[in-house]
Amino acid sequence: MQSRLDDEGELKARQTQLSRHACDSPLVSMRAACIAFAALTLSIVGCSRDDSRLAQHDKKFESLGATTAAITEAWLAGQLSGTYTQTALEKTFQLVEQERTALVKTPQALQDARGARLSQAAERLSRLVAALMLDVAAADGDSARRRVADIPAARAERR
Amino acid sequence: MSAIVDLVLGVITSIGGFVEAGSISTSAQAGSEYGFQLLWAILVAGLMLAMFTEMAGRVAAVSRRSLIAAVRERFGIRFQAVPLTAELLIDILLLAAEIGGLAIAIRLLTGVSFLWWILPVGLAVWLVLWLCGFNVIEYGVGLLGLVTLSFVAAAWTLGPDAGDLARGFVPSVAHHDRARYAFLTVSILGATVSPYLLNFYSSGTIEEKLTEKRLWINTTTAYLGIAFGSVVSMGVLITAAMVLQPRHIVVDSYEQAALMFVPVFERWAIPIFAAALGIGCFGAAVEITLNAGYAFSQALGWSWGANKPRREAARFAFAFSLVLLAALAVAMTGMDPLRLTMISVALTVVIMPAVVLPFLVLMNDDTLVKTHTSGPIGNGILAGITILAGLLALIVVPLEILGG
Repeated sequence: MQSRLDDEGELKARQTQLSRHACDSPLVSMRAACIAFAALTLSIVGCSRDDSRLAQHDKKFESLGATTAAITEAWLAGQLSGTYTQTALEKTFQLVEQERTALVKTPQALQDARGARLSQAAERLSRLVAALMLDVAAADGDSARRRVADIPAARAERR
Repeated sequence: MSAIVDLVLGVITSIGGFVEAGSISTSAQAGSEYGFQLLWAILVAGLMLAMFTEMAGRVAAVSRRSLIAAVRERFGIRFQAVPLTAELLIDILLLAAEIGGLAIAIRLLTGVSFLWWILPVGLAVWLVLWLCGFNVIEYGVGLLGLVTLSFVAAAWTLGPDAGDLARGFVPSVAHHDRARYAFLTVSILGATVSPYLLNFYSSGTIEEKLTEKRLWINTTTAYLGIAFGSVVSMGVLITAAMVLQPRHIVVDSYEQAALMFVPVFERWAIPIFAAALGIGCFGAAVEITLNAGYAFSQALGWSWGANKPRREAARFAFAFSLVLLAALAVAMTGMDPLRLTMISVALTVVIMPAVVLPFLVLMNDDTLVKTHTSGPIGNGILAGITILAGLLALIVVPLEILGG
């Protein structure tokens, strides 16, 4: 029994010795470097993927803001009927909401300062489109004109 | 004289029938996101379509067999079963997208939700197919489709710079969102070279009793009609590029696309856009449904023909009615028609090699096309396109994920 315990102790000691040697070996330093490099690459790729995702959302919100402005301005100029304007604003509202849902699907997006700003701008746009729909229904051109000026469309504004 | 009338009508209907949900959405998206940069893609896709259409018509005129019947005879039903089933499934999606496009067009004018229009639109399509013969369907839809020339009129009025336009015909790499650019390029191809168009054209050649002696009408109609049709697609892209891109409006809905007409047609912008979209989609819906009847009947050896009394081609009528019902069911799910269109055109690219490959064999089979086989240049181009179609089929799904 005692000799078996001794054998096990010796085995453990050898294993420890071996692993210590292994850590010192150039092969392992290379492996560690590779792991560190992979982790760095992954984090860079992850960051750039996040960046590109945010940029895509940004582009969509910019487009939806510009759409809202174009529809309202054309309605104010008498180029679009109230029926079409309502329909188009309703569709724009749906698209803004879809995009907002997609943006906040990952909590990380909101922890990022740019993501949080984007989400706030999107919420503002959503409320603005809803208010514009009411203005168009009430044929209130003055109110609609004031709201168009508030559209958070310009990307530069958010930067 | 009758040949000239046939030719003129053929070219006019090709122009009027060219633009539908797929070409409007892909061209409008391309123009609003990349300006004139993707004009070359429409040119290449148009050339490919003209080439395949001419070949499909040639096979039909010389052999008196439609494309599907010729493939079945040459390769057997086992070879044909899988691609044909895939094509029919994609046709159902495309048909649902066209029905949805027409329903959206009515919504633009009435404000009533597009879902309410799906069934009436389906009924209208079915009634046209049930009551009309081939010529009424083809020429009627084609002539009404001339309203799509409004895209060319809009582009002309906006007066694009000739130099900028010319640069758009040179293939180039995008400065931003390259995956999206590649996806749109492939989508333009998928929207233009639709398999249903090829079999519809070859079946139409038989319905119109075009013979070997008048093959020149087939060639001229295919190249001239599609060339002019491509100009309409280019009109969509140019108008979107000149009106929507400077305002940073990216087309995600038909409501946004309609805005491209506002600076040109002002108060008439939405009615004209709705008419162009609606008639384009209606024409395509009628053609896809009819082609589904052709495809089923020709693959299974049933009696077929839009000019035949329905009781003499009952299974043909049953087949197109069934496909229409399936498409209506898809459209009634409420999926956004524009999104459905983009999915359908991407899937079209997936099955394109199976559509293109048989041409290489058929066009060299002198028992089928007699002395009208393809020459070395034609075969070389066809082989190149087949390889390209294979590559595109492999990359289209990853592209849809990355840039769709």
